[in-house]
Amino acid sequence: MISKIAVCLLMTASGLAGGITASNMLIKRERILAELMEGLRILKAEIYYTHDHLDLVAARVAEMAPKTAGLLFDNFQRILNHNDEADIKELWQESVMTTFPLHIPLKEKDCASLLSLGQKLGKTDVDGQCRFIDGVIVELSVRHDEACETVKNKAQLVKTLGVAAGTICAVLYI
Amino acid sequence: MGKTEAMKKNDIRIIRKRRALMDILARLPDDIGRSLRGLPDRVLDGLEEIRFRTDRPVIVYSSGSEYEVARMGDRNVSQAEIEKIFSLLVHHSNYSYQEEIKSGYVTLEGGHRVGICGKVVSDNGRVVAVKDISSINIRRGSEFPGISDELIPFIVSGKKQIRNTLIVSPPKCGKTTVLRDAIRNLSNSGYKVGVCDERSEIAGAAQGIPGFDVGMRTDVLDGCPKNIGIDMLIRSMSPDIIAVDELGTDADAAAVERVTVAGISLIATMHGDSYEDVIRSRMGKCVKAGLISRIILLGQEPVPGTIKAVYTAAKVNLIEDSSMNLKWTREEKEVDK
Repeated sequence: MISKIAVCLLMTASGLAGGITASNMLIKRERILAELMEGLRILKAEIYYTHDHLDLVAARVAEMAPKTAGLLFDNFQRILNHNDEADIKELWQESVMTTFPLHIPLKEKDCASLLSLGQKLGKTDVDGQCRFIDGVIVELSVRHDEACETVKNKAQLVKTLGVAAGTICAVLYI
Repeated sequence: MGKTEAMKKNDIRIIRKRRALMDILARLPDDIGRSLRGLPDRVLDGLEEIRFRTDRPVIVYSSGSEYEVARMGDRNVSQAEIEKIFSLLVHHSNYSYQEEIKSGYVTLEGGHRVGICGKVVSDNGRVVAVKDISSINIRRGSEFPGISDELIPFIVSGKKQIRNTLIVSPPKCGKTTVLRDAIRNLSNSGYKVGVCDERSEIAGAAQGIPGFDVGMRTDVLDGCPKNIGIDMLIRSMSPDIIAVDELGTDADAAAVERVTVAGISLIATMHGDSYEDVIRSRMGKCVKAGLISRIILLGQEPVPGTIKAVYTAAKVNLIEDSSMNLKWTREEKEVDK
């Protein structure tokens, strides 16, 4: 009997933990998208005001940008300095993949927007770079709005669903 | 100068030149850089230009001779390779060089100039961009300490006043090299020199640090358009001399006028091959107005930097010996002996 109660409690707790994790993923995606937008705004300002080389600009963005965006640009700067013979598109792709392995917690389409930055990064004049970065920021902001909406509507729901699923499993087990 | 001292100076110059060349080669794709590093020492030491053209072999010009570079596999350079070379030379950062690219060249750290050809995109007669780059010409920047020593007496008057001077020659005759050394000479002699280095060729500055020795009293305004930079220098740095490279436009002529009326001396270069070329150019009115008092013509024979003539504004040639070579040539001969 005691073991049955213990298993039931474990099932309910697992359901709760799963719900919280899924909910946190939604919140994390929203936060990361906001950080990435901030990082890109810093990138744009650095290119516009300093005209410095991409590796220097990336290093400064890495220092100034919020956590995840800083990590992304830090990876990019290191990969660029380590292998500057490769095409920027490939290097940027590698940086994105290193920072967000398996795209988690971002979605496929978030990563696609981010990866599109590599296509023209460094390849045009300053106005072209700014316009291009603005375009990526707009794309990410649409995704961010969508992520905010998802958090608002689903974060609590996912947690509740997790607890409910755990409880149902426990009841069925009994 | 003693033979040992001349040899030492020459050795230092060769080492610095070699190091500067290796810096350029390090920026090229591995296989091309390796092929170029494999060239004989005498070719590398005298190297003046490296030329890449789409579907053509790599050609280098050294000490006046042309050499085709042997490569593994396809010896011709592909379009993709040209794009890659350019991207590497500009650190994947075209935007950093956007104004220069519109003028058909970029200047690398160390003052080396990279000329480009390709499809020009223009808007209302104004160049907006150069795309589909098909040719790249890397011109090695060089410094020859002492090259201007024999020029200085023509520039400095008896009262230690600096005469407004134009150094004139066709391309590849050493104008910028002579100007750079004259700046170093005058700066180290006690004059405050303000350099407006629009194309970063005079001082070869990278991240604000001059790559060439331009003297201890020289202030460099790097990458600034001449007509703006000259005014900035006059207002902010109180120079005794302002030095600029490649005058040629109406705006430049107006800037020269502003320098000379401000009581500051000017040393500048421009393209041309004779006194008449100068008079016909935009700078002609400055010469006629007496704002320029020395016109020094340089030639390429027997070596780049050879003084062909030194004219006053009234076209009086101050030297008769047209084969007068500059000091570095004689030092090299001395070392050869």
